[in-house]
Order: sequence, then C-alpha cells, then structure tokens
Amino acid sequence: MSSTVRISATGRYQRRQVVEDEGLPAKFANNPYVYVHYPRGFSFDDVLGEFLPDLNEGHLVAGVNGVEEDPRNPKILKPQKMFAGTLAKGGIVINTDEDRLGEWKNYLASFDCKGGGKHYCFVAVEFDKLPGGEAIAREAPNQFREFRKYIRDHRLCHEMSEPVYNKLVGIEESALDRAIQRAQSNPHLGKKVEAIQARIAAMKKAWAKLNDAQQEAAQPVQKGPKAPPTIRVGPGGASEVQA
Amino acid sequence: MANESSYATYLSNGGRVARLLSDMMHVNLYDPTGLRFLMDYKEPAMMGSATLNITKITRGLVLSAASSEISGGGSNSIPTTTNYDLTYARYYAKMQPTDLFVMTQDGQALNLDYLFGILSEARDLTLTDLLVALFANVSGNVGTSGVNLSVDDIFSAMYYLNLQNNPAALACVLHPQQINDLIDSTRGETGAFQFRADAQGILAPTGVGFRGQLLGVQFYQSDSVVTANAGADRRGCMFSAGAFAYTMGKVDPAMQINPADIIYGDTEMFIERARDADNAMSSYLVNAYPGTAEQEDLRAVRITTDA
Repeated sequence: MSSTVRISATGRYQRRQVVEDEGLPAKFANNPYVYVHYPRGFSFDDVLGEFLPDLNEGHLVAGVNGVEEDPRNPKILKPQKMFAGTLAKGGIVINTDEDRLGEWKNYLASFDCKGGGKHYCFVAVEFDKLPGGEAIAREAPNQFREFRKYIRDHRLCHEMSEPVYNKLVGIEESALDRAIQRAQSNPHLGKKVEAIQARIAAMKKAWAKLNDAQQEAAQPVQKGPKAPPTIRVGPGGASEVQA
Repeated sequence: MANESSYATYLSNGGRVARLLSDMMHVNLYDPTGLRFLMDYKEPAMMGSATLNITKITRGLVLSAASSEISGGGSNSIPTTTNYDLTYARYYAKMQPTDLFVMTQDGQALNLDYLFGILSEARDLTLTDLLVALFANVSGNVGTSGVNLSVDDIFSAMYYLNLQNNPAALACVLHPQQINDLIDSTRGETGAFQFRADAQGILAPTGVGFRGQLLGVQFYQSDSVVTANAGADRRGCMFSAGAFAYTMGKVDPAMQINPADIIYGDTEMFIERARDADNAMSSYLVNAYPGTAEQEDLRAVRITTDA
C-alpha cells in the first residue's frame, strides 16, 4: 500500500545569466614589446622626488626595425637585428624573462581583443569594460614608478651621468625663466614660478643623493691580501682596532 | 467603417514591409590617415634575402694643416660608415563573402567592390602603424610624463633637432590628445607667438591627418600613436626627412596565381580570389610585404606627454 511521501526541493531556481566577454575592443590590439633604456633617458619624478629611468617600448613587430618572423613558425618573432640596432645606439634591452627583474619578471600582460588580436601592456594595468563595450584603462602609475625604481636600483639600466643631470636642470631653469617673464605681466602665474623653483631644488637634492649612491656602488672591490689592522693603544691599555 | 487600405493592414498581411534596406550607407568614424610619404622609400632586397642592409655614411671631412710646405705629416682619412637593416615581412587580410551575399548585392552600397576598397586601403593604414611603432625606438625625448603637451615642448623638439644639424622641413606626428593639448597651450601663449597667423590656424579643427603647419613644422594627427609609460602617456615624434625608411617587397602575382583569380594587383600588393565551392564562398586575400626601420636616430625626437 502506498503512502504519502514528502519531497523537499532539491535546489533553488536561479535565473541563468550568461556573461559573454569577448575581450577588449579590436582597436586595442597591439604588439608585444620589450623595455629599452637609453643613456640620456632619465626624468625627475615629483612623487618620489627621485630621478627615474625613462623606459622606451621596443615594439616586436614583424617588418619593423629588422624584426623577422621565423620562417618555420610565423608566431615566433626574431628580434635580434632590432636588439643589435638598439645596442649600437647605446640602448639596454630589458628582456621580459630577465631573472634579475625579480618580482617584475614577465612584466608584460596580454588581454584578448575582439577579432583575435591581443593587447599588450604593463602587467599592473587593468581595464574597466563599460556596458556597451567601451573599455577604459586603469593606468598603474604607482606600480610603474616602482618598476622604474627597481630597474634603477638593480642596475638594469644605465647610470645617470652628470651631463644628463645638468641637461635636465637646464630645461627646468629655462622653463623658470619663461615663467618669470610671464609672471611679470600675469601675477597669478607667480605660483607656477614657485613650483618650478621647488622642483629645481628637489632635483638638486635628489641628484646629490643619487650621485653618492652611484659613487658608493662604483667603489672598486679591494683585491689581494688585506693589510693588517692598525692597533692603537689608548690610555689605560684600552685598544682600538682600525681595519 | 471597415476594410481600410491601411499601412498596418498590409504590413500584417503582405503588401508592405517593416523595413527597406537603404542603398545609402553611413561610414562610422575611423582614422584613415596614411603616413607612408613621411618615410624614405628604399627598393626592396629581392635577391636571396628579405633583409636589405643599408650603409650609412657620415660626410663632412675637413682638411688638416700640413706639417710644413714640404712634408704632409697627416694620416689617412676614412669616412665613418654604419648600417641598418630593413626587413620586410608578410602582412595579409582576408574577407570571405558567400554567394548569397553577392547574389543580394544589387543596388546596395555594401557590395563586393566596396569590400575590395576596404582591403586596398589596408596597405596604407598598415604602413602608418609600422611607422608609429618606430617612434619608441628613438633615443632623444622631450616632454614630461604625466604633463600635457605644450608649445614649450614643440620648441624643445625643434631645438633638439636643430642641434643635430637637421634641415628645416620637419614633420610632427601626434596623438589626437596631444594635438588637443597643443591647441590648448597655443590659446594661452603670449608674446610674439600669439600674433603669428599659423598659431591662429592651428586652433581650427581640421579632422584627422594633416592638422596644419606651425612654426614651419607640419603637424599630423593619428590615433595609431601608441601609449607609453604604462598607458599614462602618448608617444608622438618630430622628425626630418630621412629619419625613417620603408620598403615594400615586390610581389609578382602572375608567377603563382591563375590570372583570372587576380582581382587587383600592383607591384606592392594584390588581391586574389580563392574559391571554396563546397561551401559556396570565395575568399579574397590581400598579401603585402612591408618593412620599416629607423634610418637615423638624430633626425627624430620623441614627444612623450600625458595621454
């Protein structure tokens, strides 16, 4: 004899939502690149108050500056000629897979784009995709600043030379002269004069600090047998050892 | 009242259609700027290599004073030479209209010929992209990251190029945002600059491509100008003739393709047809072999300013 059986729901209905993301708009598609540093490429960063290396993008595009496709596998690019040309101009190529990059190794991110292309950018950059498909980049100035600082501190780029520093200060001093001239007939521009003056002062301070650090790093390592320490005996028999 | 001959009735029962495809077409905004003419053209290497190695020579020999009237005392002079590589690579595009698309194209603006036009235009747009990809490789730079482009940056670029003995004819390719910033800066200029006719002229909107001449420099706007510094900036460039070079591998479609399948062909590119009879489609392919290179670094200076 059958009896009534109570059946509980096996689950709750949820309206299915399919979110299809085809990636960034097609116009974002670009080419991968490696960062390159040239000896004159430095700029003063107002946020950190330090000089940081300017990093150029050496675009890895078939047919540009001697970049070739591997005839056996067109997906592989051969940038050796481009690298050689960069080195000949005094540039340093910072390869993405350079071990010395530490946490910044593989600094390039890629995003899929509509139509099959890819967008390559600095790894910390993100995008907001608005309803309707428009995409807006969330730039990552702080992370990029840290990246540039890392490159400088780990000596993956050129050292900043005094003539380069003098040139950068010279540009600011020219700007100061122009601002002073303009402020004479437009007193409200006085604040700009003060801002440039403060920038020049900060640049001088930053250079002094950087120059000390560079000179310290450039000290030759002493080779050969170490000289015996000098022992000075003070009053009361107290001794002082000097290396 | 009944049995009116209304639009709604015919729409429901036949006799009228909800929408009629117009023979007029609207083209959405895009940047059709072709900038290949700003580069030097080099005949491609066709014998044994896709890479052309081009010699660069520095002239300007000056005489040395002789030791005396009867002895030279000098040493040999040799011109300084360097070189660069110009490599071309295959670029292509493909469209695959179906037979049904072609059968229904009569009287329509969007037809097979229109698609051929899009394919043909792709050559110059690609060369524009390959030109701006060279800008980041230029070692000299003016402008400040995160700071809008100003007339001062334009002067700095001109000073930089002048110091390297560049000729007077200069071109400057900038991103639309940089052009906007230049206009904004021009509005606020004082002194002699504000009275120049070309400074007034640059203020007017002229659309993409050629924007006008300012201080003797020809300004071009292109949205292909790439970002820099993790998207914070744009990287335009000012340069003189000879800074950049390009080549186009010479194609000879008659060598490998049935002439009947060549829709369009010149020495730089061709459109060929490939039939897929099983699926009632025909592919139309463009093949071209462009290559660009920075020819002389001192003829160009990057302009990196806020995006």
